[in-house]
Amino acid sequence: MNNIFSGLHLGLRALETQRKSLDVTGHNIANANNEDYNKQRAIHKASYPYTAPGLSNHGGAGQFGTGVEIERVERVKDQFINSQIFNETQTAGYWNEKQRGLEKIEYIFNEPSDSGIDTAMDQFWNSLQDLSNNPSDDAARNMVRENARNLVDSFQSVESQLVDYKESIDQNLNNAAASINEITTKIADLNKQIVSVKGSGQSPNDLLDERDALYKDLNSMLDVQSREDDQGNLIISADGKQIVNGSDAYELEIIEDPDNADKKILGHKKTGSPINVKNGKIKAWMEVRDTIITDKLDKLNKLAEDMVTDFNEQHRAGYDAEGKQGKDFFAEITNSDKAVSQLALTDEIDNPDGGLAKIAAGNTVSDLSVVGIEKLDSSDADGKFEIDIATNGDDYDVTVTNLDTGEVSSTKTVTEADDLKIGFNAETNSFETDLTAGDFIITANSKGTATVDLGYSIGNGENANALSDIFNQDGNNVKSDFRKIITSVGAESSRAQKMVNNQEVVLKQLNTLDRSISGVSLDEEMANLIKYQQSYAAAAKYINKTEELLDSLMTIV
Amino acid sequence: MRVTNSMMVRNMLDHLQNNLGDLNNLNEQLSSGKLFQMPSDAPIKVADSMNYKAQLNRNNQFQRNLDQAENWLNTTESALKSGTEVIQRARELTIYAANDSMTSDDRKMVAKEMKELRDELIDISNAKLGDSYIFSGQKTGEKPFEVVENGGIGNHVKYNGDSNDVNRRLNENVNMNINLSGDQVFKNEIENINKVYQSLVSTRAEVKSKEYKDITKFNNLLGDAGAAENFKITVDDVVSEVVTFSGDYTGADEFEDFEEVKSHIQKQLDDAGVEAEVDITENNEIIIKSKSSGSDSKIEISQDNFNIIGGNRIVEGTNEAYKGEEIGNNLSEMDASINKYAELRSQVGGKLQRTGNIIDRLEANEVHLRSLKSKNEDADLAEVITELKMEETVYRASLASGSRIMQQSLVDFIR
Repeated sequence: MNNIFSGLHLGLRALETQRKSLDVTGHNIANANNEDYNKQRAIHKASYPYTAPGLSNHGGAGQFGTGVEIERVERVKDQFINSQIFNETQTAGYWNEKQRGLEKIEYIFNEPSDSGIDTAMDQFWNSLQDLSNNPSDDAARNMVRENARNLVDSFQSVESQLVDYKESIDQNLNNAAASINEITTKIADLNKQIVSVKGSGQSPNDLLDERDALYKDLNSMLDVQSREDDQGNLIISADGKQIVNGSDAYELEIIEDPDNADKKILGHKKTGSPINVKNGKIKAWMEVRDTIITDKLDKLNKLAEDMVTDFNEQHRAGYDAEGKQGKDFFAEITNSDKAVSQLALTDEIDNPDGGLAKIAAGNTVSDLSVVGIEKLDSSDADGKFEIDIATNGDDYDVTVTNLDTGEVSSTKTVTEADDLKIGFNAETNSFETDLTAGDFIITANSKGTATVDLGYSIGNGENANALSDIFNQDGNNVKSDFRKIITSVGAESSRAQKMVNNQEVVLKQLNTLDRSISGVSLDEEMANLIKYQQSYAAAAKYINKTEELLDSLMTIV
Repeated sequence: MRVTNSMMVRNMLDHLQNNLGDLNNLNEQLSSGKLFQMPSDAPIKVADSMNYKAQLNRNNQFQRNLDQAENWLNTTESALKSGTEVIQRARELTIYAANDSMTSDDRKMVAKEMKELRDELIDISNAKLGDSYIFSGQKTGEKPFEVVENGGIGNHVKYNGDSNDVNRRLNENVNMNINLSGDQVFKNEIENINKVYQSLVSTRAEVKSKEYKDITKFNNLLGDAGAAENFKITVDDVVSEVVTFSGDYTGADEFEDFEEVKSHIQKQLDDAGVEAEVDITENNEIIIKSKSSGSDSKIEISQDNFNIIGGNRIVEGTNEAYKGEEIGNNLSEMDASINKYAELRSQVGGKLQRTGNIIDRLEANEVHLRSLKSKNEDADLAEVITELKMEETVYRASLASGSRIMQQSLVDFIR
């Protein structure tokens, strides 16, 4: 029955509603600086109206309102923007980590600088030139050896730092798996709470905020897919394997790649199957580890091996300070994949006692691509020779002219079966089929003509000159190959930086949109504050007036 | 669009971050003077810079090579200059000494100076650059000339070097041969001066025939010799039966002149290895001289069937001093040496000019490379400072506006 007391009730409900709305406003203001917080709104609804019963109704106006109540507390959120943010967070995580990885590699290479591999090569080149100017000078020989050691050190320092970095990424992956597990466990717990709150018909707004924030963190680590079921559970899977299902979380762990036992990858603990990560920080780490660092190491190893091969070949073509044919300068590389770590001077050159004299600075063959010369240790062969190589099917025809006497030897065919080697006796100017008997051994390398001087004097620095040519400016050589590595690191890193910037812009835009919709505006909240306060005051006034009505009624009695 | 406070704070922070980033960039450029620090800042420019740096390094090395080559050439040139002076002085002395009216004391004095000149020339030939003998070919560790004790007139020094070229790389693809072989430059000259010196201090033994009126008289003396006939000659106790005359000297085999006689005898002496020399005087006397000199040199003729020199008795040669004329014979060789030195000096001078040109080119190239490198990597200070000022202004403005707007909200107006 609509009577005077129902007015008190109406006023009371109004007071309560305005006060609760003030609470929501207060909650909003309190969370104004919470980045993950989404603005909440108390949705007012007129409470169920009172209909006067028909029999006693004297035809008066019908349905009197009974005041206001809060229908629900709404969380203001645009789910479409939200899911975009999750997606872009994956890509941002990927590029951020990739850029950091590449930047680290740049620091490791430390170019351009005065202490990197490039400078070490320049210094080595300089010392070889100095040696060619002063082949008899032990100081010049010493500089060559020291600079060679320095070059080896520079190579190895870069290599070991790259390898260390690669190993540190495995550690990173372990930590990442642990933090993913922590996140999924928390999300599973939240799922449980959310379902129970929802079941009681209320809105678990703050729990949803927390779950969204955790899910966003998860997205920055790897690419995950999710859907929300009817009860409000967030069901998450990665590469088709469930990691959160309702209140259960399934852990991830680092396992060995079934295709490559040396490689550590992310796996699903419950099923034991690998997870193929396509985006996020984890993808970036694995890419840096498996592709980028490996590629640089391969290139560095190739470079070192080429350098050793070319340098040794040229070194063997020259004569040392004692007039003996040069041996290897760098120790032989037996494993191409470990060329840099195997980089070292040979024991002979490294020997503090007499090693300097072993540097083959003197004499050289005019064109090593045509012919290789090997003088036996016991040989005292002397003189200048011109060696002509002509093709003969798959074999080579060799003719030798003694330039001192003008005597021309007969033409001899050398075959693959003999390793294209043939002995030659300088004395008789004739070929010796028995290699050991020859005064010197000719190796036919390709068609052409080359001259060779077997005599030796200490003032000859031609081979040092030829050795320095390995580090020449033009064409394909050690230096330009190294520069290619630096340029490729730089270009990749530069691209990653641009992508990071792009991704930042995209995320910023999305976040701005998100905050525009869900963020707390203090002005708005202030206005609400005043609005609800005024309403509260008015409701109080209404109760006051109702009370006066009652008072006046009471005075009659 | 609805604008919220957190949006504004975030945007302002983003912008401040950007401004600070730009400021940091410019500050790095200013403090390092370089446009980039890392390859990723400008990959292509970094590669270019590394290239320029390497080229500069090579350029500097070539300049060092050139300096050393120039030193070498200058040392060669000054050795040649001193050498020329020595030879000129020797030539003057030879002219002075080529005079029979000199007393033996005069000769001794000239000889003394001649000996000094010879040793000086050996010293000059031993010129060194650092540790290297520059006239030894590639055997730079060895003294080019070694004095042969008791080597005789034409055999005073032995060349220890080789004839190989010493090359220097002076620029990309430019190699230059910078040495002269001591063998070609000094050997003859030293021997020549030694010869004059020896001629001045020594005597040598000689035998002389009687005067022949003309070649017909000599031919008639031999007549139709028919079977081989010879005379015996002994030099320093080495006996040889060498000089043979056979044939019809009044008919088919007659000598045209005494020069022919001289070469006939000389050839046979040489073939048999007898150390003696044949000469014909103006008066058609035949002289056979021992080649060795010194007071103990000896020459004897015996069994002279034709009585060309002394008949069947033994003729001992007399020890005589070298004649002025003989000493003077060395002048032409000295003239040739002086010419040769002038030629060598102009050759070395030409090389020096070439090295000078290359240095000019390298220096010009260096300037060019430096400016390219600088353009490529150095920050333009004026530009950077201007930009820095601008960025600073923007940064201040954003700070100021941020601080103002942040402070205000409706809260300020609700009492």
